[in-house]
Amino acid sequence: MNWESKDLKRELSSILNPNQVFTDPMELSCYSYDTSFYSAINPHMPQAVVSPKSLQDVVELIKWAGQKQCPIIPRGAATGQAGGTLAISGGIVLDLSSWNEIESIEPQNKMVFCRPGVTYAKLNQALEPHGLYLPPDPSSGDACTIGGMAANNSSGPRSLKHGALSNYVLGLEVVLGTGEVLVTGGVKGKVLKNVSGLNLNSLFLGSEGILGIITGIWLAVAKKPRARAAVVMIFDKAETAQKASQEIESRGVVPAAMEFVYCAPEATRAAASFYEELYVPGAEIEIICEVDGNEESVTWEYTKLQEVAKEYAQASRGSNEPHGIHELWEINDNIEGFSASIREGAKRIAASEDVCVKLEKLPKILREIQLIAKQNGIGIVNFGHWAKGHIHSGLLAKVEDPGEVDAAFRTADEIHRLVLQEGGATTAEHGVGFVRAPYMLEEHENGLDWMVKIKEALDPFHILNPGKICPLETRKESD
Amino acid sequence: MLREELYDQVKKLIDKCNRCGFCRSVCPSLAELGWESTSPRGRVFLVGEVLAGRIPLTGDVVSRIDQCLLCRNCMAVCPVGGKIDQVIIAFRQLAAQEMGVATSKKLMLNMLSDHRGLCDVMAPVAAVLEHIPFKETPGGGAIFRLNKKMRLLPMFGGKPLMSQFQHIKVDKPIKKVAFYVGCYINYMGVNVGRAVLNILARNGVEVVIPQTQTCCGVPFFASGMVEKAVTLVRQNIDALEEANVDAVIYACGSCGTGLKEWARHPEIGSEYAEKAKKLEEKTFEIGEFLIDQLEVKELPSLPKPTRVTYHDSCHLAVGAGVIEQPRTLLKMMGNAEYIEMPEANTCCGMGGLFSVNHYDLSRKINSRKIDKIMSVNPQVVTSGCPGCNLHIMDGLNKAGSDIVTSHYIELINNAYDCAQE
Repeated sequence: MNWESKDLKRELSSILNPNQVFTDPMELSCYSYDTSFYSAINPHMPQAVVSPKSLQDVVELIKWAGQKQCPIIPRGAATGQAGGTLAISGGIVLDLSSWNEIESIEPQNKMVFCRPGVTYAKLNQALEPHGLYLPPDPSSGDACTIGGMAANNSSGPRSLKHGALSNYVLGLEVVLGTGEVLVTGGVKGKVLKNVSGLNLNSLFLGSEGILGIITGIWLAVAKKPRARAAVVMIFDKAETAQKASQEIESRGVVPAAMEFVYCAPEATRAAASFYEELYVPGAEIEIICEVDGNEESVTWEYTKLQEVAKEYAQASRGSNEPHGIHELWEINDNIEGFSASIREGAKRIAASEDVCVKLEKLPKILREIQLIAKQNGIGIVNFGHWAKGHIHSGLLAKVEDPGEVDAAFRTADEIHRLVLQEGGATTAEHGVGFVRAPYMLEEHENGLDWMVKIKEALDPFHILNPGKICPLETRKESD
Repeated sequence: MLREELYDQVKKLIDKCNRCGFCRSVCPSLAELGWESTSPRGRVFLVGEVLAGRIPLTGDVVSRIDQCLLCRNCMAVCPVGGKIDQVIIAFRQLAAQEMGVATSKKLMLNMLSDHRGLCDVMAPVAAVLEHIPFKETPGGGAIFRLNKKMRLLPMFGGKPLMSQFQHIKVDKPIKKVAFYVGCYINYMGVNVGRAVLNILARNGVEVVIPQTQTCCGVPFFASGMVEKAVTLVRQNIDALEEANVDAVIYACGSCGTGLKEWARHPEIGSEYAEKAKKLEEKTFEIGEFLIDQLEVKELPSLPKPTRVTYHDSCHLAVGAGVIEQPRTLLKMMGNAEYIEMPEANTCCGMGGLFSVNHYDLSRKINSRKIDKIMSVNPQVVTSGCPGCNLHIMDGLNKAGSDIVTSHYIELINNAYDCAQE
C-alpha cells in the first residue's frame, strides 16, 4: 500500500497541524478497540490517528486518502458494540470526539447545529435552559457523540414514543469519498418539514461511515415533557407480559418506554435486590413502563398502568415523582450488577446484543436464545425494548477461559442465525459494523448489491470504513 | 514489588473493564486533551498493556498515566464498579520502581513524611519571611510580587495547628472526637483547623489532636511511593486508635478519602486493615458530623447578606459521598444566600501534585470551573477541600475576579464569631 510510508506522520502533518496527528504505537493501541467483545479478543491497530477540527481538515485528508487509497475510519467515543470504528484493514482513524462545538441553538425554531464530537449529554445540557431536549436517548448518552448517533441512527428506550435520531435530523454536512462536500436537507436553510427531493438524510443515517464522513448535523429538538410516571411490573411468564403490554395500549396509554429484563426463572432478582416487594419466585421477566406528557395526561395514564399492573403482574411498584422514577429505572440500568449475580466470575460481553423480532414471537425467541446460551455452556441475561421486540443479549462468559470465548462467539452466531430464520433483524440500533457484516447477504440478498453500488458511487476509491456493513468482497465471494 | 506481582494484583481490575466508554464523559483531562490515551478507559488499557509487556514502559506512557488527576469521577460512573484509581496507582508504583521518582517530588514529599519536626520549626519563620516576596490575597493566597502572573501559592499559617492545640476540653462533652488535621491545614490552612475546633467546642464536643498523626499517605500513593505510604498509614492508624474516641473528624476532602480507604490497600497488612475498617466506620467529614451525628438544626447568621456558592471537591463528593451536608449547613445560616453553581461537581483541576506537574493542563481544567463560578456571581465560593480552594483562588485571581474563596467551615465559623460578638 503506497500510503504506508515511514513518513506517514510527516505527510499527515503537512495536511493537518502536527499536534493533531499521532503515529506512535502507544497512542495507536488505544484506537485498537471499541466496546465490542470482538475487539477485546482481536484488537486492530490503525497506522495513524488524527483529530480533525474543521471541514477543511477532513476534506484535505479525504482527498489525500483517495489518492493513496488509504482506509479512513471515523470514530466518535467508540461506545459502539459492533466493531464499527475498528481499523480492520489498517488505515487512519479520524478521532472526531474533540470537534465538539454546538455552533447554533435556535430555540424559536426548535433546531440546533452541532459538530460530530459533541456528546448527547452535553447537547442536552446546552438545550436545558431553553426547556428543550433531543428526545432519542441512547443509554450511552453521557458518552456517545451526536456524530456517532447519526452514523448509527441511534434510538434507545424512549424511541418507542419519540422515535429514533432519524426523526430529528434536518440535514447533514458530509464529506464524500472524493472529498466533495454534500449538504443534505436543502442548502438554502433548514426547516422542520421537508420532502423536497430524495431523502439523502436517510442515506447517511446508519451508514456507519462507509458513505461519507458526517461533519455537521442539523437537528430538530423538542420541548421537554412536563411530567412523567413509571411502573415496574414482574411477570411469571413472558406471555403474561405480552398480554399486559397489549392491554396497556388497548386502554389508550401511549408509553414513552417499555423496557424488560428477561432471565428465566430468576428475573425477579433484578428488581428484588432493590425492592423486596418485587420478589416473585420463578418469575421470567421484569418490565418498566414509562409515560410522559402534561400533568393531567400522565396522571390518567399512570392510573391505567397501575390498573393493568394489578390485573396482570405478580408484583408491581410505581412512581410519579422524579426521584422515585429514577430509582425504578435503576432496576433496568443495573444490568451489570444483575448479570454478576446470575453468573459469578463471568463478564457480560457484547457480541449478539441487538436483534429484533416480531412482537408475537418475542416470548418464544427469548426462551430459545436462553437455551442456545445454556447449550453452549455460558450464562445469559436478555434485556431491551419490549414493545419493539428488540432484544439485547448479554452473554455471561469467563473470558480467561478460551473455551468460553469460543462458546460466546458460537452463541452469538447461533442467535443471529435463529433470528434471521424467524424473519427478524440482526441489529436494531447498535449497527452492523464489522461483526454483523457476515449476515448481511442472508438478510438483504440483492439489497446488498444496491448497498454496494451506492457505496461505490459515493466512495469510488473504497477508502471509507472498509469492511463494515457491506464489505465489497462479501458480495464478490458469493457470486 | 516485581512487575509480575503488580500485574497479578491488578489484572482482575483491568480485565473487568468492558470498554463501554462511560468514563469518557466525566474525565477532566480527557475534556482538555481529547485523545483516547488520555481517557480513563485508555489509561486502564495502557496499564494492562505495559504490565503484560506488550507496550514498553516509556516516558510517553508515564506522561499519559501521570495526566490522571485521580479525581475518581470515572469510578462514580463506571457500570462495573471499576477501581480505576488502584490501576493507576499500581502503574505509578511500577514507574517509580523502574524509572524513579523526580527528585523535586521526592524532596517535597519526604519533608511531609520524614522531616515534620523541621517543617514545624520552619513554618512560623516562613510565615513571616514570605511576606517579603509575596503579597497576601483576601482569601489567604500568596501572589509573587515580581511576577503577578505566576501561580498563586498558599501562605503559611504561622505556628502549625498541631503545635497550637493538643486537646480542647468542654464542660459535659456530648462526644469526644479526634481531629485528623492533614498537612495543608496544619501548615497553611490553620484558620480552617481553628474553625473546626471552635465549631466542635461550641457544639459541646471534646476534641483531641493526636500528636503522632502524620501525612495521610494520599500523595505518596498517587506518586507510586507505596512503601512510604504504608508506613504513614500505619502510623496514623496507631495514632487514631490510641486516641480512643467516639469519632474521627477531618476537614480536607483528599485526606478524608485517604482515611476512609486505608483498608483498601492490601499492602498495609490484614491486622492494620481490620483496624482501618473500624476507624472508617467512625470517621466523618466535619459537615457530615455536624448534620448526621450531632443533628445540628440551626446556625448563627452571617454579619451581612452574602451570596455563597459551593464547589464539590471530587474526593469529598465521589470518594467520601459528602455532598448535601455542606450545602445544608450553608443554607442554614441567616444572611447566607445560597446559589448552586452549574456543574458544581466537576473537577477544579487541582489533583494535588498533578497541578504542580501539569500546571498548564490543570489551569485549563480550572478555567472551566471558574466560568461556572462566575456565572452565578457569588461573593464567596466555598468548598470542603483546602486544595480545591487554593486552585480556585488562583483561577479567580487570574480572571481578575474579587470573589472570595473560603473553606465552607470557615464561613460558618465567621457566623459563630459574629454571634459571640
